[in-house]
Amino acid sequence: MFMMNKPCVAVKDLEKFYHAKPALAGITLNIQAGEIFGLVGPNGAGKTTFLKLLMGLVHPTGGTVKVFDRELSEFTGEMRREVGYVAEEPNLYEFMTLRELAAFTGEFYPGWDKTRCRRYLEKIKLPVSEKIKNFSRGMKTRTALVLALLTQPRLLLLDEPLEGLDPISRREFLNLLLEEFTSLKDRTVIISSHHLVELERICDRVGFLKQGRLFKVAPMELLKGEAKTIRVVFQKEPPAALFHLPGIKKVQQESKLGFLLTVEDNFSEIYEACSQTPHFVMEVYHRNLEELFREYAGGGDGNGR
Amino acid sequence: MAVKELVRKEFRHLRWIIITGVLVNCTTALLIVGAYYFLKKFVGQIPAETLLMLQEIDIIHSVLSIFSDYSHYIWSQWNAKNLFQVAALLVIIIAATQYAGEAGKKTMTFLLSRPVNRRQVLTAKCLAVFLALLLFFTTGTVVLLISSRLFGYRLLNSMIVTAGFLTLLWVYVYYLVGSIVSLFFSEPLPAGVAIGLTGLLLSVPGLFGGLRPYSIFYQMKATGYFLFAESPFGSIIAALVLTGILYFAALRVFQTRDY
Repeated sequence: MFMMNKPCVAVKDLEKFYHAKPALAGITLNIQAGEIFGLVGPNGAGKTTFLKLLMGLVHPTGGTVKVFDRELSEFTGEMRREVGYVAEEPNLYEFMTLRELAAFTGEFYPGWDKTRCRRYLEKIKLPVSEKIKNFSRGMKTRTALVLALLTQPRLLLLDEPLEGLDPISRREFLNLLLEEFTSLKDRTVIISSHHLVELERICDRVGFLKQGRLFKVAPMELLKGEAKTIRVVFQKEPPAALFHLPGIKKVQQESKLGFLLTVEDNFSEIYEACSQTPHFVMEVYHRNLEELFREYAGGGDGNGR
Repeated sequence: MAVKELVRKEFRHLRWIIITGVLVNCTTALLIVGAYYFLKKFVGQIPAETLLMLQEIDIIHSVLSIFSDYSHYIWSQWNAKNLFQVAALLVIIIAATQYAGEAGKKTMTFLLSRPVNRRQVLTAKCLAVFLALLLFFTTGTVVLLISSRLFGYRLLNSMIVTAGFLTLLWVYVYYLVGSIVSLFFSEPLPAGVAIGLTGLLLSVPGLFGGLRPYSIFYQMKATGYFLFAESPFGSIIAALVLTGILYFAALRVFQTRDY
């Protein structure tokens, strides 16, 4: 899914201040065409500002933003056809019905396919004759996503799209995204979310934002690979030296003979040492994004709490 | 294409405000003509000697003198009172809804993430309001002219239409001022209050004799044209120049605003 092409998004020393307060500070980042990039960070970290900057809704205080190799300031309305955006709160025109909203959106896109539009709307099972004002937040989010997908942009920006969706809707949302969008060639997605399990499922790379700073960007596979957890229940007291092997970052005792070892490095030697010590059970976990996020962000549950 | 779609959307968005404004305006036009008919009839029933006595009282004299000239009565009640007041109120609501309202409801974010630029969005909004005001003035004036004819009164049609056109232009100038104010807000209610207060500020020159023509409401009433027989072209040119300046000022504010 993730191929190295020329950058779809190139951001350099990006800054955004609101009344002298930095919302984004010194962000430098390249996102390749065809990549699904996840943005992770607590509330107020600058995720929404970053996405709005890419969409041209917010103006940068400093630095440069290039999308499709063009400065954002050169972006015309026509070029914006290539970028889709689903806002954190998808506030759509409430006086329109879904059918009218789809028709209104379609007027701006010459390649709008009415048949595909009908098919998508049937797929998400939303009442087309109903006024948007009667829609729940989840229904509005699905509407916004479908409208964005129907425009077939090369770059899709999704700001907390999973918020307010139940687990089934979240799955449907992601399936729709994966089946209908990322399966197409060179389609790039930048998605911010607090639902880290879902991000872990779809992202090629993840960037961690905190207080407007991008403090870690890494491929998902590398993130998973660099940190693992071994859960082991020994048959008898293990030798103390085992817990002091280089590469073990943390040891948590779960029961008298049950231990959880957080391994950062030297995995094979530690694994070998554990497996040679008599044990009842031994399991290896990749630490998930949520655990990594907590660690990088210095605590909190991923919701800024 | 984009502007046409956006204008259509504006009309749908503002349809109830426009419909209410048009209905209020037409009803007012009808009532003004009807009121003349009934008041004239009432005055006609007052005995001549009583009328002479009453005319010695200043205020009653000036009220009664209005009934001697139907066109003057219509101007004083239509252009100089109801028309510009209803229209000003209408543009306060519209400007507050179009910019601060869309920012507050975050539909502006949705709109600006379509493949349109901000110039097109602003142009469509301004165009939609001009067309709505044109509809508002045309329907009101037509009702006024037809009802006057039905009641058998002779009205200086061209003067009333010209005065109405001046009112339309200056109300539009006020709308553009209101749009700029509204662009600084994210809620329609405070924006509406601020636009109203700005209107009051623009009316301040009207409090001073020599500065009266610089009051926006003096121009909206077309006082110079109707009462003092001034040429309307000076007022028209001033309104058009201000329209251009205010449009570009609004565009500048809109293009630099974050959503």
